[in-house]
Amino acid sequence: MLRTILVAVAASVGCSLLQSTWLQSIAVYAVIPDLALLVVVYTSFQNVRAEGIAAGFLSGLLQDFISSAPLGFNAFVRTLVSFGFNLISGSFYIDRILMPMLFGAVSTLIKAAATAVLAVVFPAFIHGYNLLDRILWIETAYNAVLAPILFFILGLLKPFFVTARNRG
Amino acid sequence: MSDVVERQLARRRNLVFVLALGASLLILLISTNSLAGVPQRVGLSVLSFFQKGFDAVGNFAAGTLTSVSELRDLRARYKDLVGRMEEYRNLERSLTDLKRENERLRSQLGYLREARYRAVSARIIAKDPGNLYSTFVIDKGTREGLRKNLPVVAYQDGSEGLVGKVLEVGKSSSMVSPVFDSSSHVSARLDRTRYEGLVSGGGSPDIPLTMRYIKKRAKDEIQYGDLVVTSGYQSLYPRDVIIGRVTRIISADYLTSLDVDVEPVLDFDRLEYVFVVFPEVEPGKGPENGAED
Repeated sequence: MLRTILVAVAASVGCSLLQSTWLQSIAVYAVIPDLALLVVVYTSFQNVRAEGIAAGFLSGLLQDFISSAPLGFNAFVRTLVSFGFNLISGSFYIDRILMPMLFGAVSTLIKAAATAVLAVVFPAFIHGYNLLDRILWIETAYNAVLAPILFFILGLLKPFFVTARNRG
Repeated sequence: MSDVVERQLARRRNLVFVLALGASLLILLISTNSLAGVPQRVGLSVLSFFQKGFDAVGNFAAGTLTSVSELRDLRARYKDLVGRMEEYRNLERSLTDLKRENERLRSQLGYLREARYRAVSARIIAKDPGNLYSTFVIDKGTREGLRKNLPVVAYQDGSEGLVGKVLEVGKSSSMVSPVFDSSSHVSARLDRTRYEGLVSGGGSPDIPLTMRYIKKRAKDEIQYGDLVVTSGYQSLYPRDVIIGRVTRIISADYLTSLDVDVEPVLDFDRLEYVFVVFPEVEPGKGPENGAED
């Protein structure tokens, strides 16, 4: 269990570092995909136990260090998203394209909803997504498109991301 | 799985969820009261080390690919530059004479030697990993004497423009909040007419800045393209640093003041290097002028 959490956190933080450096060059209208979130979503869905939630919390906390968002913001959002996907863990079969796309889009929308709630509670510190703004929709589409590719790669490394007793 | 095991699993999952959510909320509560600055600074220092690594690897790969054509260009440039150097040598002699003459005239007029500020140059190594915040990370930190709230400027296409301010400082890296960030507010004035206002960010480099609270009587005097500069009233920013140019004048009857849209003078997408500026020094007391590094 601990190994799965550590691997997922390392992968997610690696993605955050990529997002802050290399992925800036493939931004669409200055919007980058949230691969770190997708790693957490994959881990949460594939593990029935709480590995994904722990990984979501820890990777979110680490991302807060390199972001101007207040400490705890990404930890909170990722904990919520991972809990949501952990609840439906093992409930249905996940194919190669459509389900990952749906997961990518839905996880972004859950993130946006959680951000909106926090923006109401901490208006001076947290920026919320604007429903009419292109940022949210480009990020949702971007995550939906990249999720099948990322899930495929993570699937190849499944023994590292899924605790043995969770594997089907 | 039996019901008992399933219930146990669910209980454990819920416990981890509640603990993680509670911890993140607690951290959020503390950090928004600025009590958690220390772990954030430490985290920034550690993680920016990896950001530097990613940035360096990316630069190395890009550099290797372009180095062949660059070498060809460099050879041609070298020849050109040798010729130009000869010209500049002659110009330098004339410049030295002109400088001496200028200094003489200034002292005669009783002007003090202008001691505006000293600056440290820094390279942008990373941007915010999310889409909601527009901060970026530079490769200088406390080791170079940087501290929170220092203003940041940049030179682009021959002119100096305001970038923003230092938000957080690590050992060898710092986080910079740009002027277009929605939390940015800069005391400014119109360069030509000298009317004052407050420039606020729109949250994205694509959205123009807004200069608010300009006296309504300025309406007939403001022109499109007028320069907007820092007023220097906030101790944060040095005065007369260019912020941008007026692109739209908004005057509603029900408003007691004017608003204008300001297009930043800097193209933030093309920024690679910036200068972190130290506050104005008292003549004779502070460090020497000029950019360091």
